[in-house]
Amino acid sequence: MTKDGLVLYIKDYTDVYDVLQKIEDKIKSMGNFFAKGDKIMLLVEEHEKHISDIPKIVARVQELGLTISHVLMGAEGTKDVVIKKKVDMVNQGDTRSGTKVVKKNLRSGQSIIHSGDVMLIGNLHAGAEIVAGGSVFIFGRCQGIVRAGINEGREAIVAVLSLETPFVQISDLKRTFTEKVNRPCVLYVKSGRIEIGEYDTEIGGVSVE
Amino acid sequence: MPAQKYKVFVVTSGKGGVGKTTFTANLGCTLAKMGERVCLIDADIGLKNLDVVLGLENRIIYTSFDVVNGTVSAKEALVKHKQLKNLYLLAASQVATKEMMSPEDMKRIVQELYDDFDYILIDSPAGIERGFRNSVAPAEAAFIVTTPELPAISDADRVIGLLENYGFTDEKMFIVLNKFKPHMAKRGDMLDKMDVEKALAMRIIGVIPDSEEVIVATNKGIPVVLEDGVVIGRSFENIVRRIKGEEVPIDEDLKGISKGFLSSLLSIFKKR
Repeated sequence: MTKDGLVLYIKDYTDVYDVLQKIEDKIKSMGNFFAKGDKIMLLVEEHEKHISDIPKIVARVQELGLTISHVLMGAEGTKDVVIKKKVDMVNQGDTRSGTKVVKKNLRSGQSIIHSGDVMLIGNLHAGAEIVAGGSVFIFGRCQGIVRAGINEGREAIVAVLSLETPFVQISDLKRTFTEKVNRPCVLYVKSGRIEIGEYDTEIGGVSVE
Repeated sequence: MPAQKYKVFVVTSGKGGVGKTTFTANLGCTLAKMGERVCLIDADIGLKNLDVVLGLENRIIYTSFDVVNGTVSAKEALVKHKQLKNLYLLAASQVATKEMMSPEDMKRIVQELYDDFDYILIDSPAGIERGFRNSVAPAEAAFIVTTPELPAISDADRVIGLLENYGFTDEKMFIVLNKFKPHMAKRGDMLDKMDVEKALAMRIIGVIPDSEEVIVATNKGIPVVLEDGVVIGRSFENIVRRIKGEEVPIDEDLKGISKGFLSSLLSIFKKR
């Protein structure tokens, strides 16, 4: 538990009342785990889509005797402490909750948060961010920040057509980049380090051991 | 003439100082010169300058704030341009603040003026806060003004993202590259229009060359396109043709710049 408490992580959904019921069930099933007035944080996947539901969720949590200290939105939800906590909170057995395919350029200030794999057909511009439970595939230039394997761990990979990002995280490992790789490449974890597998122009293909 | 697609445009940029207001004034004048009925709305409440660029600062009696308060109707608050009889301005109040107006107020004002004009251009303030939301709310399409500098481009990227959240699709967003210096781009000292298109992953609707004439004209309170013999007017005419659906190559915007430079050199010699 962090000093701000646990994170209530809500995946993408269609029916808000269903979610509210599940929150109630979950918190009630935890019995005495929470004391009255305990603070928790709220992180909603696709928060832009569900922005109008957030007050309802906050109200329901408060009815259950808890306080929401922060509502995390994409960029804020990427603070290290939160990411680490989210690993515990994302349903561990359900890492393969499907691939999210996004067909657009992700621009500065926009983000994708998904518990499974993320496939972006477009560019990831500087200032944009992807936080994925699994692997990340970008069919475009990668200039923004990618955090992969938050849920799945070091098995996750990041594949891009052009690596221009300053920073990539896979699971708990981080790597900063000072130089651009203007070729298709795959980032993977090998003996506790993020490695770059570059596209081989002669054989054709990327080797990831 | 091709059918007109959009009537209400917002001119925005995110970053300040890239030339939103100058662009709005000159585009408005270009449209009015072509015979369109044009209304310019200054949404930069508290820091207005569209009236100054148009040379109308002494004629303002009512502002959009008076319209919101119900003192006058939107049509009564309009100020007519001195030279162009079909160009009108709805000025912003200097004493009010941006918080005193809501996106709904702006929508109502534009609704009231909608049927009387062919084009309504809203000059948005810098930033992405209340003033930005106010000016975007009634717009059907957007001009995003940027300069060939990285801070301006990164802000433009952010603004495009925000406009997408408001439901603007790529066809409704027009990037304008302002203050472009062709000779510097040729030397590789300045980002070229291709670099900007690549960075934003979007096509540019027009390039406006940097020009000292703009500064001179702005200080006189006359939009530069109304002055005689300015090359910059061509860019605005091309932008108008493009938003009307005509295919005009981007290179047309910079034609005559080098010639203009030469001829201005020659004219210096002639004077002597």
